[in-house]
Amino acid sequence: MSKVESPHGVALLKAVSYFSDVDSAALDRLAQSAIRRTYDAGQVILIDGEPCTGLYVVESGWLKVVKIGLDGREQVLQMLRAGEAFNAISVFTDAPNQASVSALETSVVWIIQRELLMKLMDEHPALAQHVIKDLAGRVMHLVRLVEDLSLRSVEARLARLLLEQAEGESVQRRRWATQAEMASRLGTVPDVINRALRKLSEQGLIHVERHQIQILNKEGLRGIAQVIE
Amino acid sequence: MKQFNDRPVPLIDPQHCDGCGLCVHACPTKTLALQDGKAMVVNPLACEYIGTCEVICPTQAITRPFEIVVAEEETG
Repeated sequence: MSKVESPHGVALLKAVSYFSDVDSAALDRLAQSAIRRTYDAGQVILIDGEPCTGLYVVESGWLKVVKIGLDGREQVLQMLRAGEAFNAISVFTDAPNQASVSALETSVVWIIQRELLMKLMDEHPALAQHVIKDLAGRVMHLVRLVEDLSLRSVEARLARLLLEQAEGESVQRRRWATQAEMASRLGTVPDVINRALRKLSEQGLIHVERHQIQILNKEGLRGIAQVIE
Repeated sequence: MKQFNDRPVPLIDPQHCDGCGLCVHACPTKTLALQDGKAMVVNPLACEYIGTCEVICPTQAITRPFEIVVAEEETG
């Protein structure tokens, strides 16, 4: 655990969309009080339901945000990378952590205490606007996730995931995924993913060659991904 | 990750592996063996990435990462 060095801290905070309109003096105060932590791959950063410790900002690494069922099954809500903030909902509703977060590789995060953030919002209305925009974005993401999980077949969800992975959208750096990881992102289990891959392969849209899932027909996959049942 | 070269093999998590040996017996290409009470890939060139080991493992210690590519990128 260490305090953030100020010029470095200010530069990194400035790159986070929340703080883009906050002046350097205020960011410096924020940086001085932030706590920097490093987590190894697999380490848990936040636990669902525990008291909120503050807003977290990712300096480096790759993290996942999950809800875990009583049977241990995981549902991935979001993937996080450098420059992104998380735990905002808990901070701004003064509620316990709403999900668990763990590191997928060595990751460095900063923790900004809630009280300091709320004080900063009073002093900088522009920060509040960014927070509103960010929270609205999160709501949209979750609405799409609910739509996917409740209205799309596993094949449609898988088609979308394969396209996102290959086309470098939100998971540009991760073109590798196990069937268990795909299942936890798509709200199902690995056996069902296996069957869905076979079905897409039988339709000539993909080909599984040893360790590679080769997309043969992007347009075809887009058609499957858009189908709502 | 150094594992992800041109011919990757299944990943075995030693913390989850309880050395039951089911994967060793199930593997049709004799890729795996038990060493020091843990399953390990001992014959990587034989591995066909079929996934029997992953399916049969009772502790989910074995995973097969898949690389997602667009075919025209591979052949272009």
